[in-house]
Amino acid sequence: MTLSTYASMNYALKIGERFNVDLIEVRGEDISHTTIFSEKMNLKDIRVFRRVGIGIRAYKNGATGYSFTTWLSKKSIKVMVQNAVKAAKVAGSFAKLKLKPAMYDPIQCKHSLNVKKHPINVEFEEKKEMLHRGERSAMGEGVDVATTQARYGEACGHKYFLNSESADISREVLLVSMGVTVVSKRGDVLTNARDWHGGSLGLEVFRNEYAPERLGQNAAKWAAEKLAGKKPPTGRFRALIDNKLGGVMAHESFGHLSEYDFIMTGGSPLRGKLNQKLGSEYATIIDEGVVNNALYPGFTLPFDDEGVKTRRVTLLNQGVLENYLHLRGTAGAVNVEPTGNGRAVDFRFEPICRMRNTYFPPGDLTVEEGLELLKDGVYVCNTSGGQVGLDGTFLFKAMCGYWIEGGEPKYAFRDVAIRGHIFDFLQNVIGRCKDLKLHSSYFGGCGKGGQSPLPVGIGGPHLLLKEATFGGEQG
Amino acid sequence: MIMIDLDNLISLAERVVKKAEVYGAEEAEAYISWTRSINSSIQGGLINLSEGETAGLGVRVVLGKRVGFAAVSSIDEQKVFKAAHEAIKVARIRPADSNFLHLPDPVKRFSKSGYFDDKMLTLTGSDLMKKTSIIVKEAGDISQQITFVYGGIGVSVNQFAVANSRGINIGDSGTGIGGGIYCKAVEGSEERTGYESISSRRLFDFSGIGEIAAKRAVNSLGAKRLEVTKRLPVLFDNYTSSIFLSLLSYGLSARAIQEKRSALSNKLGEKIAWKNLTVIDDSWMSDGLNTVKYDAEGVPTTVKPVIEKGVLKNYLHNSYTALQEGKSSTGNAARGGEGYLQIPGISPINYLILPGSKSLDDLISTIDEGIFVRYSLMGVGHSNFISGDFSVVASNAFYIKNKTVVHPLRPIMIAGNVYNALKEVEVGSDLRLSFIGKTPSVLVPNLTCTP
Repeated sequence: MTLSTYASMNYALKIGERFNVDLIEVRGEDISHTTIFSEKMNLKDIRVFRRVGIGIRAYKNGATGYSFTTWLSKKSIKVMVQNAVKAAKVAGSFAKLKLKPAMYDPIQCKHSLNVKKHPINVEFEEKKEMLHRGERSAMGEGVDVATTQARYGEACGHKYFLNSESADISREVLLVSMGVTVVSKRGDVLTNARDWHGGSLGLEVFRNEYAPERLGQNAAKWAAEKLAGKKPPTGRFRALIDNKLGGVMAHESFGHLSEYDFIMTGGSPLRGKLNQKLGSEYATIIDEGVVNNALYPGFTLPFDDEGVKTRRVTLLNQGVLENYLHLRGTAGAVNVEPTGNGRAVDFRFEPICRMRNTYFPPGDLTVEEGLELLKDGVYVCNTSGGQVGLDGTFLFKAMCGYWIEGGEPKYAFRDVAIRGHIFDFLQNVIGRCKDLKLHSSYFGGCGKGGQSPLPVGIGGPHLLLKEATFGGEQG
Repeated sequence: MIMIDLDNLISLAERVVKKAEVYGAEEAEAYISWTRSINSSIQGGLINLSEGETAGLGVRVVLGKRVGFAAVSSIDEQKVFKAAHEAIKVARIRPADSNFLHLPDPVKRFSKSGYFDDKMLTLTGSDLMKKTSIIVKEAGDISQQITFVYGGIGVSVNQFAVANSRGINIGDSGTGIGGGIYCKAVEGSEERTGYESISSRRLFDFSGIGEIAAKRAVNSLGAKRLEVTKRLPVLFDNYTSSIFLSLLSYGLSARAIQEKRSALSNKLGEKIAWKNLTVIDDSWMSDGLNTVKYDAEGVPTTVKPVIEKGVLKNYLHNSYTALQEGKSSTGNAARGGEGYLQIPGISPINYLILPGSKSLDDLISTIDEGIFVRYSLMGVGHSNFISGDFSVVASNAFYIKNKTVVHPLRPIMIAGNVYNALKEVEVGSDLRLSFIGKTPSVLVPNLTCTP
């Protein structure tokens, strides 16, 4: 005999409370995933899966123990609770750095998202047609198109949270995203580009600038420009960085370093730098759970996986490092207000310190003014991968880039790589545009500690840089 | 740890198949996996200890030429039957695959399971935590230069069952333990890392690996820059030599061959590698980390050479690709990640590269000027798997001059092509067990090295 997710969580909490521990938290989830892949207008793959399971965490003597199960029977739940309690006691006897759950007001709440066109109410045919619309437009607009691919992903369901302090949260989980990839080929030259959008949104988001046709068109245009693109620039140049690349830099090369587990254990170069000036007056970076969805449709996370309301955190304020991102247990240990950054990719994992939406806030320039101020330099857009070191070094391959002269695009590059150190980058920010845009992808979330892909919001406005280093590993 | 009865899993898989047929499937297959694990880690003083079980089912159904698949992370009957129903809904909307013939028939041939270590079942979280604290402490004790240590040990027991409408109903079990440790050494502004990990099907005592990882980090300090880009002999140690097998696996997949995406198309019986290179896919090695009696479709696994004395001998098949050619599957159907979430693809089980006669030192002593790549490579996944071109970053590389390892190098980039490299490689005698199989050190005479 098995129980429902919520009933099994209540049962686990009831048993857990019989043990002599400091705090018990129970998490549960029931989330259905659908992915659709299309290639050259042929439906290649459709996948559906449902993840259901619960996990329990016990705090004892400044350490935690965790246990989880997919088998929601009373017997299995009892074993799970005992394992978590045992693990907490063992962990407590080994822990050198002690955690202390920060004080907070336990929340009782049922949270749902208000979207117009919820994907569970939309037939499969319409989702497939979205992909085909994107591909058709890409084939129509592209040059020497060899292949088009389009993919759609959705996660819909609920996450639940209970603890021995009377928190009782049920929140809707929703993530939809779609993207179109175009491969162009001329002679031996092969180029590719992709555009995508997504978030905790209904399918109504895929219209206007995010209509499938526009995504296909953009991917086709970029792949075509790269066909005729010149050799990548190497050296130091003025630069304008677009929304997606700026967002990836804020997340990958700065955000991770501000996660308190990296601060606490000595790995991060931001350790000991609180209240120091690390960047220019334009270097402001926010990490936030709920952004105004009407203005900046993207990822929404009202509560984290420790039952903490997500708070807007100003990491960097006009260049000055003001805050770190915390777990409830690290916030309590250093006596700061919890930030709501304790997140787990699913019930098999204990929450670890993770970002939500991480971005530079909008500035006062239009993109046209940004290009004018750039004058002569590199305009660099989007990313197709990269590498960051925990010491603050980074290397990102841009999806596309242009040489700008006198504020006017002169020609496109085939491959552009930007690299350097995050502190150098922050000191070189000399302007922000108004056009904040946020995105979240079903396919490419954040990875850390074996927990991947965790949905996050990525994006920002265009950023103007006084100088940046371009060139790949060979530069 | 508590085990679940394998026969119960097999009989549940059979019930799901029957149910799918009742729902209208012409053929159906149910794959169920179950894993119980304990993981402990210490990250610079922060402790993680978790123990739990996951189980899940993936069901594949056939309606004419349409194949549907759905999965659920549960073995609760209600939920798994619902997944069977979902799979049929998916099959109805999927395009027909004119190449699909049928699910695999039961195959009667000998095969065997890997070693199952009962002692693993009695390990507790406390045991793992103690072992973890030992390796972390010994790493920190090596030198004042060690500023950060992250170590962990995990143990797991897993079982899987497969049943289909054609009469397959089998299962197998396995045990595994793994430990890894990552250290950072700092001197002035220089920061270097060292890593060590060991995995085994048998209970293993990890003491010593912390010391090894820490020494690797410390010994990488004082790195110099490679002066200029040049083509040099590169010696890959028995950790990093697996890059060649990762790239080769893609080309050996019969799916890649049939879809004309492999550089090894039409090369069966041809010489593609160094005359003494023999690579076997050995699914039965008792200590092999992926050893299994049946593959992910329930077909008995096999032992076969893929390259024998430089000659390409076999491609790797699952039932889909084998039926295209009227053959029987080589037992290489595999489901990545959590298993039940994936439809079966193709993968080697355990590669065994037959060792050469030269030790690592012998190989070093053949090099006048070259690079010794150790412990880890970054960027293998970014290679061009179709052409075999790779460009990887070696963070722990050393410079060899006059047959001697002289000093560590700052990270360098190494570029080349796996199919060209295979023709010139020479392999050492020092086999090491890993998730790719058993591999020795490999010397490639000519690769582009960039500072």
